[in-house]
Amino acid sequence: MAGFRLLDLVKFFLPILPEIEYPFEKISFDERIVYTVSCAVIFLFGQLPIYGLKKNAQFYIEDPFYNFRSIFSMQQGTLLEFGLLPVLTSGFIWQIAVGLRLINVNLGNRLDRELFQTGQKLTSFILAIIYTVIFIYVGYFDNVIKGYNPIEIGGNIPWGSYFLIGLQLCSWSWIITLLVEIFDKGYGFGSGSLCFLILESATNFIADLVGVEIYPLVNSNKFETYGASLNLIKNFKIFSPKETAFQIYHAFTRIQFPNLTQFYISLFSILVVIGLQNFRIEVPIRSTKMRGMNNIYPIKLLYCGALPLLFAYTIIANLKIFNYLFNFALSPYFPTLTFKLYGSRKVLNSTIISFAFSIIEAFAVIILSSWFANKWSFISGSSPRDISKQFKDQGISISGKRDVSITKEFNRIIPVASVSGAFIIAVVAVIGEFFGGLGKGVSVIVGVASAFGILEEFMIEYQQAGGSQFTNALSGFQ
Amino acid sequence: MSTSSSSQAPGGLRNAVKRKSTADKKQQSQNATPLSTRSAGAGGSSSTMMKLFTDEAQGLRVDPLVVLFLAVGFIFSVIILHVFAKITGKFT
Repeated sequence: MAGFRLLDLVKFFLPILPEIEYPFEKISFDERIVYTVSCAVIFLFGQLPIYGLKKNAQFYIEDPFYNFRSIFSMQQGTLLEFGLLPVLTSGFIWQIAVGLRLINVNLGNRLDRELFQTGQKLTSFILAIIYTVIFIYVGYFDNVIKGYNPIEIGGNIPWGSYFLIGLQLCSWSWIITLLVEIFDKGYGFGSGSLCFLILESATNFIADLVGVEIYPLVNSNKFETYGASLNLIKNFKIFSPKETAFQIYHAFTRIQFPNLTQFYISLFSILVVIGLQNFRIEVPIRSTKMRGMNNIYPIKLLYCGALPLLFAYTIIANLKIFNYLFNFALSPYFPTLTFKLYGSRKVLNSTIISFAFSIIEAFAVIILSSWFANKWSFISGSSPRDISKQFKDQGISISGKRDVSITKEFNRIIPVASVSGAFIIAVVAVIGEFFGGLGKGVSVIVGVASAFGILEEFMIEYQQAGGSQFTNALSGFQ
Repeated sequence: MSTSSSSQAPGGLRNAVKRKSTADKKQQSQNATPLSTRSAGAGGSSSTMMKLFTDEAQGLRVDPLVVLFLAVGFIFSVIILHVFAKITGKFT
């Protein structure tokens, strides 16, 4: 008897969900660069403000999610309001559910694999709708909808604006999912979601420092430059030391715009991650077919890259969003039962005020990412067993070990490496958050650690393709 | 462990049991369903890369270029809405 499976539900949606075609022939290196760059440019266009909101809406929305916004490239008041959260959430849910055998899927079977993939896409689409509905229902945009005053009694509810905003958010989220699919299908380099995260954290890191846009300060008639250091340089008055001292203090503590504290935390995190990348265990390997072919197989400390940290924050972000919904829905009936997991940016050091919550959150991040690293090292495609299988196929063995004990040897090394790597990286992230990184530190950690993985793939492709036409064309100019 | 096994006489019941258990284990590992699409040999998430879509399912097949143009079209429609709002806002 075939029992009911979650996967069978997906079948109904199979014919209507768009599916990117696999390339007919192998995509050339140059084509992949073109696809990657064009997808990246389109993704960055998502920073367009939503139509139907007031000007500079991002400063007037009361933001409950400020401290994980930059991790998932959720840009406030723009089309990227949800960023990559739907895609990452659905990916993590499905892959962990299969890896821990929570749902009945046989990935060895081609049809099941296709359904599994469509399931991830469907979940991502549905999550986008759910988030949109939550945000609009709770009244996240109410403050900034054009021509609507939420405080006014008897004012018309702006159904038209709600519909337009929801439509824009949903469709852009869906387009992002499809762009991620273009990457994953082999048109771009690495994984789509991580590539976009890298892009976003890199551009934001630069913009936070030297962004040239000038915005009005909320509740005042002053203007400030977006970039922290640029604003400091602009206001530097060499002949009045008191004013200058104030400006330097202000550059480190301003709230509405990125400040230098965040910049230094990000810089410190980047350096730590780059340093951690060098730690690895080198396992000596030899060829079983040829004599004297010796080499090393490195196992990095950051075996899972930044995925454990990303996973931990995905869980926390979803908890906070649903907490946001339940708070709003339940507070009229059970005012005592509600508690806020999220804070407001209005207070600078909200970490100190909600001290207990930030301690709990810090521990949650560390524990979740260690747990994930342990599991992921077995359920991702690079588990000890997969590596030993790969070794056997390629006629490689660990020096001084028999073929059978390869799995055992890797079982001894890999989980330890991945868990300790994830633990260290989570601690660095948490420390950064504690000093007021507001997610910027975490975002650059994820960005840099993933960038190393993608760079690796890029270089391998580059060497296999024997250079690219771009470099050939450029070298002609020298 | 090696010393204890070498002190035993070769063959016998113990060896047969051992052989059976290894054979069982081998069969079990062969029959076990893969835990990820990559270990099933179809690409997918690796230890550092989060990949979601690596199989071609039966669906509404579209070319990647179609998606790119769709995305650009969507962006332009939003931009045009903004521009219209600005222009009409000037006159009213």
